[in-house]
Amino acid sequence: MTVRDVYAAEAVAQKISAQTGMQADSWIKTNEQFFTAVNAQTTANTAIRMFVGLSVAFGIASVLVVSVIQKSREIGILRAMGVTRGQILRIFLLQGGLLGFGGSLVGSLLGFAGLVIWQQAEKNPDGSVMFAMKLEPSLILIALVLASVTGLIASFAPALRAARLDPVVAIRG
Amino acid sequence: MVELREVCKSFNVGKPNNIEILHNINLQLARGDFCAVMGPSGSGKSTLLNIIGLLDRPTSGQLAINGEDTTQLDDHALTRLRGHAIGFVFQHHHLLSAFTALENVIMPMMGSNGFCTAEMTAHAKSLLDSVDLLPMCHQASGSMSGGQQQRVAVARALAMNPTLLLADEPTGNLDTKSADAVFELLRRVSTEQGTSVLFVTHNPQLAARCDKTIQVVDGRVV
Repeated sequence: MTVRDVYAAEAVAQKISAQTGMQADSWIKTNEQFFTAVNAQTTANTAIRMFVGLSVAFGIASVLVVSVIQKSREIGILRAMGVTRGQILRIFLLQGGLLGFGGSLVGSLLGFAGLVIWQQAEKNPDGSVMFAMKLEPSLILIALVLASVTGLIASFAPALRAARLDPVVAIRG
Repeated sequence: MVELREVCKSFNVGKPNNIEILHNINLQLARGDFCAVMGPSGSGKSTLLNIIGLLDRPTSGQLAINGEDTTQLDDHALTRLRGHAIGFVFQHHHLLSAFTALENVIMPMMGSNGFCTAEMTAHAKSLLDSVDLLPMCHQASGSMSGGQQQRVAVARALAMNPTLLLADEPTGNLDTKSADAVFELLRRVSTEQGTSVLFVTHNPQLAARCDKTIQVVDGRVV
């Protein structure tokens, strides 16, 4: 019997057993070790993604903190010219968002190129692709949005610091 | 146009290391006045300029610009007033070196909406023309000589057609010829456009060529 949701197989098997009194085994039960391994891999993947996201956020934040320190005199001059604290804040938020967007765009392109090269290199004896994997456009879109939002959030503290700079102190350097 | 009444400025107020920089400053500057500010280093000239330029707030006293009492304004309103009414020329030109001379002059005009229009570019070019730098307008400001950079800084300060121009030792880092050119440029702006200029200098010859001179000693106008 085939089920649409592979992870619901055990529940379906138990339901069948309860309703018919017959023995029903799911693939999860017969391949328990494999299923545990898949579960562990999923957990590890989630953890890796979370730490990659955190490191991206800290990376963007540290780049912007350095940028604020290096550009404090320019920030002071802009403030003297009538640029408001809000505008300074937006400049650095935009920079953080663009860093996240640009990074994810380059990452997605590299990932796509890597996949194409791998599929060209690894083929079955009959010439067909050994690992038929497809890069979903929605995955790229999600990555772009997620990275841009991460960049925005990560840049908030440095942007706030830039906006709060005293122009007199900043110009003096 | 600019009026200071009993302006005082202290740092570390209420602390044991309280320092009073300015004491009861009274000052009036009319439209088109070209006024030199002189005094020894540490006498409070720059602090006075920062307060008049709305970059800093007085501890007490009143400051009115174009008839508007600025002491009650919030930071946003002060920034807006500063952007529209006041131009700054610093001792070190403080141009954004990665940008061209033209871009540096356009920048203050972009403050309100963040976009550059054809009118802004035309205005910036006319300002650069007035300081004889139009042929170099697309040159990176970092590659210009000190005198040229200071003239770009003057053009930038005039971008918003300010009624008040504050120049903090703008000729301090220049050779005699360049210093004279910058001084004459500021003089011309004051005469032709009616811009009031407050010009900090240590050079008595340049001060003698101004309409009036204010001496600041130990935080007091004498």
